[in-house]
Amino acid sequence: MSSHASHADDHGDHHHDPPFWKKYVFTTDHKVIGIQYGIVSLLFLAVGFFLMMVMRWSIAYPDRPIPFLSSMPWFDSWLDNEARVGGDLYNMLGAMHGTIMIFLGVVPLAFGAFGNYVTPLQIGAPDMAFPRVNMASFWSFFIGGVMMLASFFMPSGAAKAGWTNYSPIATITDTHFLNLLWTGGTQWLLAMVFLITSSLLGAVNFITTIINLRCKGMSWMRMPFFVWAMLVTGFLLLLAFPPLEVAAIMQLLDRTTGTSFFIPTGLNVNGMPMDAAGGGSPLLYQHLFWFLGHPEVYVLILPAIAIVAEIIPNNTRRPLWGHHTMVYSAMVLGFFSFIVWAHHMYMTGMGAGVTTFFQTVTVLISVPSVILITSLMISLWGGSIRFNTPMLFATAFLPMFGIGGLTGLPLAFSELDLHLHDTYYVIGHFHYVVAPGSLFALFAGVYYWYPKHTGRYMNETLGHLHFWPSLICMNGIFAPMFLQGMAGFHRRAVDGGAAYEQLSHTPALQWLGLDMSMIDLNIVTSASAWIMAIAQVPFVINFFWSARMGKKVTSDNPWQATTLEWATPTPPPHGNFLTEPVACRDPYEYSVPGADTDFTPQWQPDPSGTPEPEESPVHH
Amino acid sequence: MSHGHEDHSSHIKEYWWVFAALMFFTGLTVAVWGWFDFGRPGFSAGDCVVGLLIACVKASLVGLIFMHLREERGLIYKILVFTFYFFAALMFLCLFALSDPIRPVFGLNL
Amino acid sequence: MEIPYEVTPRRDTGLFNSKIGIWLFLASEVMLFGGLFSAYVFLRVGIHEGIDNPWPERVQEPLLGAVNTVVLIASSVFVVLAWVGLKMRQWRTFQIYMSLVIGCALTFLVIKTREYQTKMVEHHGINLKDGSVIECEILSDNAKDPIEKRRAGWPAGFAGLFGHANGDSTLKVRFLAESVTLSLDSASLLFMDYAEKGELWPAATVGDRKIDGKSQWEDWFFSAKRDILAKLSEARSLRRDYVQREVLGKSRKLDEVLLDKDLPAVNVETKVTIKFDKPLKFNVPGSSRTASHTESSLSFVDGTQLAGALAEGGDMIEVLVHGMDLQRLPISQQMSAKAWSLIVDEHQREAAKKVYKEEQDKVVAEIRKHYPEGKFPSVEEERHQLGSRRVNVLHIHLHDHADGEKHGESQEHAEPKKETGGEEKDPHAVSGGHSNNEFILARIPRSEVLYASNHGPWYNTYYAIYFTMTGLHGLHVLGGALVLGYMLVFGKKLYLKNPEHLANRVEVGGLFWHFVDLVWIFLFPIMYLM
Repeated sequence: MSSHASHADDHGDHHHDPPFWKKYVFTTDHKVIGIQYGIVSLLFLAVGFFLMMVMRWSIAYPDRPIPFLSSMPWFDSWLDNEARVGGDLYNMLGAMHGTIMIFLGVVPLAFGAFGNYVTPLQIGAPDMAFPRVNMASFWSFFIGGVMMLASFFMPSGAAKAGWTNYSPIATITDTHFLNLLWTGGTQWLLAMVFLITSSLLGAVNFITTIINLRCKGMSWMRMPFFVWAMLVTGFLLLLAFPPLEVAAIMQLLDRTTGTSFFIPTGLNVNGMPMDAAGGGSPLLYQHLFWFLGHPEVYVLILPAIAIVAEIIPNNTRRPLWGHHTMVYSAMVLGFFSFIVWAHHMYMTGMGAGVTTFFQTVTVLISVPSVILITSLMISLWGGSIRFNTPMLFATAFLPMFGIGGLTGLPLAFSELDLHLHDTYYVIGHFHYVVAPGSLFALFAGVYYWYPKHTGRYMNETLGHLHFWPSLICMNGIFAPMFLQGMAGFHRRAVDGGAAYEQLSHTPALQWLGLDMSMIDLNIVTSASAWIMAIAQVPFVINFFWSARMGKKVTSDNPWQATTLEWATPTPPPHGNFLTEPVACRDPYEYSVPGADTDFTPQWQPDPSGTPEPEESPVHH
Repeated sequence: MSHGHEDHSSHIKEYWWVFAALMFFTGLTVAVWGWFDFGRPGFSAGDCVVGLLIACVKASLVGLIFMHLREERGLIYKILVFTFYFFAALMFLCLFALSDPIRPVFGLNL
Repeated sequence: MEIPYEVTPRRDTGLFNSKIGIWLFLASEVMLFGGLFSAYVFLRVGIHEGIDNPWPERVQEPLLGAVNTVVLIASSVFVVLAWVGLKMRQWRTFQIYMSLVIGCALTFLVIKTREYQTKMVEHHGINLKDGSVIECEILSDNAKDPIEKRRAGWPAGFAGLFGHANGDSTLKVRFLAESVTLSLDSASLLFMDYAEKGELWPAATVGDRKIDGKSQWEDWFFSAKRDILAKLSEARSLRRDYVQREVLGKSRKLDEVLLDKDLPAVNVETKVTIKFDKPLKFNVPGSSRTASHTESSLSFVDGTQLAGALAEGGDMIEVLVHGMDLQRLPISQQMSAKAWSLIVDEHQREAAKKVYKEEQDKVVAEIRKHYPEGKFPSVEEERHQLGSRRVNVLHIHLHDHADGEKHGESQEHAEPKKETGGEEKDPHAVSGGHSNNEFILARIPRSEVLYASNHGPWYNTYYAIYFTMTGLHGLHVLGGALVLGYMLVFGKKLYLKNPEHLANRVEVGGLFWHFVDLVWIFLFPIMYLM
């Protein structure tokens, strides 16, 4: 493999380098697009994190002026006269934190960045099936992102109606502004149309690539789990996003032209009957939103599980336990994810029949999730584990995601959900899934595939400095939320729930040996969040420093992995492979008895068997 | 894909027949609309069922013949089966939710 | 390595890349329109009888829809024949059929535009607070003779789309302002925008300064705004510094600090009143989304206030009546609906009522058939057991003959066809006995109005979903026509190089085109017939 590197220059028809803007900006190369996605989405993650830190100040210290930011131009105009975070600003930060983290941070990083970079390499394809569509997908995403950011600087500020943007509140916020086009709510909807378009283009491209561009011998079940996860994720995006696009269009019409899709009859705004025909249904918006919203959860988590599923076998030096079972579980998960959405809507007063149906399927969907996580756990069993940085993050993912998943079970039951739904419990639950869950897996992915592109490892010491504080802080942030939530803390209070001040010295805390009141936990959470920001500094340094100064890899397969992306030169050239790759075996053949090394790469010919030709499509 | 030229020219006739059938069904829809209306002011379930059934027949014709689904590969069918499943979920679960709200509905006596 | 299977199919899947791609794309399109169909059903089934607007049934002219169906189906055949032409390597055949496809697409769009135009421009509906609806055309403000007020400006809903209406429809509130009070710190300033749009830069006095004309107005406005914002900002930062010093520096509680005597206050007067030398006329959309008014004041939603008086009849909406839609009222109350009393001419009013009564009697007779002798449903039963839609669908269309509006063109028949038919033959239409009867003028005080607009998407949820679905479908037609047109015009080069590649592209484009046709096959019955 390393010998291939020297041939990189005389391969293919790309003798002359394209100009910079074509190579790095308007590129059609899936790897560069993947990196573009990665960098942009990491930046958005930082923005989303910043918004959250501001919110946490207001929650922890509702009656103190905010430090540092009160003299920051533009930002100061949003603070109240005592330099505190006011309700409007808080709503704006909350809505945009959710939107940015989900639609501009985690999904593009997981699907856009890792999916783009790794998928074609793992199936031995020269590029995505439609490279120009791929480029359009990225730029559509980029425009959507810029619109979201730009809306902060409009007179109205950014959207304020929560990341779910429920009607009718989203329809009527900021409508006293002269030109509705340039208000945050409208921009949010328009930006979503761009983001959705981007996802759709991406999904079409991914699925086609996986179906049609697999290399010779890469039968369906020889595809690594990561590719399978991308396939399922692709289908989720492809089929779940259009209804949200429709909802966005309808809300846009409601907002700017005065239609009544989501405006019920007799709605009063500011004490006056709203000038609308009425007859619409706010519930319709919620249905359309959560029809996307729930599959979106699996879009956030499946790629994360898949990254972990690549890293764990590599570092335990054992095959992935239950590869096929995991593939089937992912498919079942995909199917079920489309019929559980209304468990987000128990509070709307659906009838008993509907509620029962959705409770049942919601509980059922935990089965494939548990299979996935259990397979990963069992994969650890009996391995001699290499605890490098990617593996640290990958192992931490398991219990963190486990906590997130298990705390979700009570929410599946409507009686419990009615109590917990609008409390911090729910915040804690889904953040355990996506923050220490997905994000840790994504960090693991960055550390794991970094050498493939740069030819250098990321620094281990800085990696540890990043990992341990992050792990502690994540739990410091989200664990207290469960306690507060069960005590009834409402999740949208700008002052962090001053009304709950009397809930001091509750049994739960005394049981933990703490002499503090529930509301003091706000400070624990906020402080953890701010420390966590500092904990990301080593990562940022590592990310840039290692590109130049990191330890060099000695081969194209530095982790001694088995999947096809490590058969390419480092970094992979345009067109990826020097010779046409052939997949000769299953993806996770570690420690095969009788083999020379403890890993047998997929591209290593099988001396005993004949390499299988192209296979007929697998039966689902 | 792999058909010879004769194969295609023989299809042409078929396409025109399908066109004629589609025209017929369009006419039938309008006719049925007029007929069902007779003596029955307003919307009725019959209208709905018949109208949509005819539309489904027309849609199948377009899909099978014009879009070559008749001779398409299994993979496309798989994609369409997925899609149909999700489409059905979207249509029927929403309706299900709507038909089962907690009683009483507000303001029935208004 | 090059990307494989761009033209030739892969052996095991049997498909080339773009074919998989387009089918996946169509799958997502199914979900896109699926969301809309689901919304259609949800909105329609979810209507609360007697509370929401009734779902208008069969208000479309089915002929136009049927013609469009034929046009689209024909284009579908043409596109597949164009593809066959390419497969048989007959460039000429391809050209002919593809041109026909584009022609069909344009025909479809033209018909569609005409349908939209009729609804948006020629038909208005005014929902009164008692539940009656006047179908009409709203007149403009400035014509002297009401009969000459033929064309209203495009009303409020549409105005929202493009900023503001420039017509002076009587739907707008007409107000004579003597002074205006601007709130200079607010983020948006509707008033300045109105001034800009209407070129309203009158001579005025603000404080002791005289301003006249656009440049003086703007000079004053921007400098005043700058001053006030600077003052505000200064006051705020003084106060913030103080609070920060005390709370963060000296760890005092904010509640205490707020009681401090030397805590700087932020009380900058941001409101400025400008007196006009002469009263100034404003035409403002009557929508509460823009402004609300009383006899002597008009307040924009951004806080700007006009003081003065309503112009004479300034909140009176003048309309030419097309018909009455009283289906939300019980039959027993229909003849005394508020809407009748708003018709200006007494003879016309009586004639219209007479026509209506005749139709009503027919329906009553129809209802009686369903009930045992002598029993007639009570108001409650009428509405909830029979369903108001089934019984009270009396909507008399009073024809506006001089308008040249042919019946076939008219889009707006809320009544079932049978009644329309009866009415069409009815020689005693309101125009029957009077000489000056082509135009039935009604004057409607705004205080009686619940909601008024043209039959655009804002009129009710039916029109909303109708415009959205057909509009989105129309965009698909346009997009498809552009793509296929591109292949027609620029395809020759590829054809000479690799005809199979072009055939593949046309096949893929054709698949999209058939899908668009397929959507219309469902749209036609549910939008036009049901």
